Amino acid sequence: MSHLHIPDGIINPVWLIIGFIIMGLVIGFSLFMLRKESAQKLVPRIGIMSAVMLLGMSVPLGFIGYHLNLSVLTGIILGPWAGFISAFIVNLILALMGHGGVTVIGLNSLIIGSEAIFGFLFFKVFRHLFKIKVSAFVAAFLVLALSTLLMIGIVGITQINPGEFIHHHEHNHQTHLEEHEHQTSSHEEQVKISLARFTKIIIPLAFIGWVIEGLVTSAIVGFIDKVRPDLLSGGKR
Amino acid sequence: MDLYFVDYLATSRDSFFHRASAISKMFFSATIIVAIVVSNSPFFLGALLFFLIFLLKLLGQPVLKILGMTLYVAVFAIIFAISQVAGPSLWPLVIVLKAITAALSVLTLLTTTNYFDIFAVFSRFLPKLIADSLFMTYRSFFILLRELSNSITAIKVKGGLSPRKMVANLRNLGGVLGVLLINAIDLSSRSSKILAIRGYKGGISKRGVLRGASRYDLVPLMLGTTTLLGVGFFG
Repeated sequence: MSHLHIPDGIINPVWLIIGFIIMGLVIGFSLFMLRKESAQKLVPRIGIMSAVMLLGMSVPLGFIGYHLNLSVLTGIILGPWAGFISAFIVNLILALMGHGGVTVIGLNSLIIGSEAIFGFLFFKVFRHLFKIKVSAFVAAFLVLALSTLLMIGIVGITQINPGEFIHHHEHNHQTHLEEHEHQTSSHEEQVKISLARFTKIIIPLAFIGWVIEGLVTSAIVGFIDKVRPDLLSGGKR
Repeated sequence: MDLYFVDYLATSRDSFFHRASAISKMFFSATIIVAIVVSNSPFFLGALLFFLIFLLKLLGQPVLKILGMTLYVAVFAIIFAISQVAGPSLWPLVIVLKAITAALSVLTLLTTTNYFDIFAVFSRFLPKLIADSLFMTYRSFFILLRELSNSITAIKVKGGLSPRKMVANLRNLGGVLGVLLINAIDLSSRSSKILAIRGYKGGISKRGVLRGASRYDLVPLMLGTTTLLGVGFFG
């Protein structure tokens, strides 16, 4: 529910490159952590869970734009590192489907991948405190809230004022220092206003998503706990 | 998402674009995305969008259906555009144009290229584990999709999914996805045994098998180069 649905060409390329670099580092670390696991077991498991995530995103929930991510569930079942790789694969396929920007694959993978990593950790902590269904709901709800904040943070950090570079384009080489200072302060103000507006639009929409995802994750985890509780061990089977 | 439909368009149709290699078409899509990143001109972006629509029409693809697939990303682009109080009045239009055009450029690639060929390119630079998992994801998606469609149809027939009963929908959907997940894990165990029997050591995807260049590659390569020149002069 909390993809970075920002189109290509909006975020400054520097941030996109930083996103890809960090994503590459996390993937490298994940592969390092998984080095002792059998590829014969990992490949089908990651493939299947990524396919389940893609399927979850295909199920209509009655509202425009609402779909399940199942990234928390993926983290719970695969563990944090295989879960992150799964999030990257899903993002790659989504980008190829025109479902998210190609240039934001790095940033998007960090957001959804963080849901898998923290989903695993939160669930591990909460299952000792609450009943299994409640712990799955709380973990999914909190993780999605965190990842939405991460998304808003990324939008805030990377946001560039469109007026700035169009203005520069029109008045090339004519900008005085004083004028520049004025532009910078007004730019910061405008970015704050637009980020506040973005947050006001996103949070209420996302809140419904957190609840829906939490309920579905809880229902699925409850079901798995009855039928195959061994699957809830975060990939250690 | 219409992965099934996209795959159908890529494998069942034939055009000069379908016959071109994956690398040349990936180059073409990449140039479109570079142009989208570089350009902030609504006129240039609009022209790029019309060009892609014209290309899809020329290839005999169902333009409206493919455009429909970009709606999802367009909705979020509109939310992002609304949040932009700063900037010139045409900026929201630029955001939406960028979103739709980028989505259409990758859909042009995916609806004209077999996924084997695309994954063969990816397997050149992705680690084995990821390249193979990518292949496995795509393959598993269609198997599980059929199962999910059957389950959802069964639930709908029994009145388990109704637009007015949100809570009941979620409960039933959770059950369906739970069953699907258990079956998926069983499927993964079976796949794992099959891989073991076949002596798998990494590399299921067609690593290194890339379709050779042909005269059809000239079209995407020339269109891509023209796009780059276009953004240089008019973008």
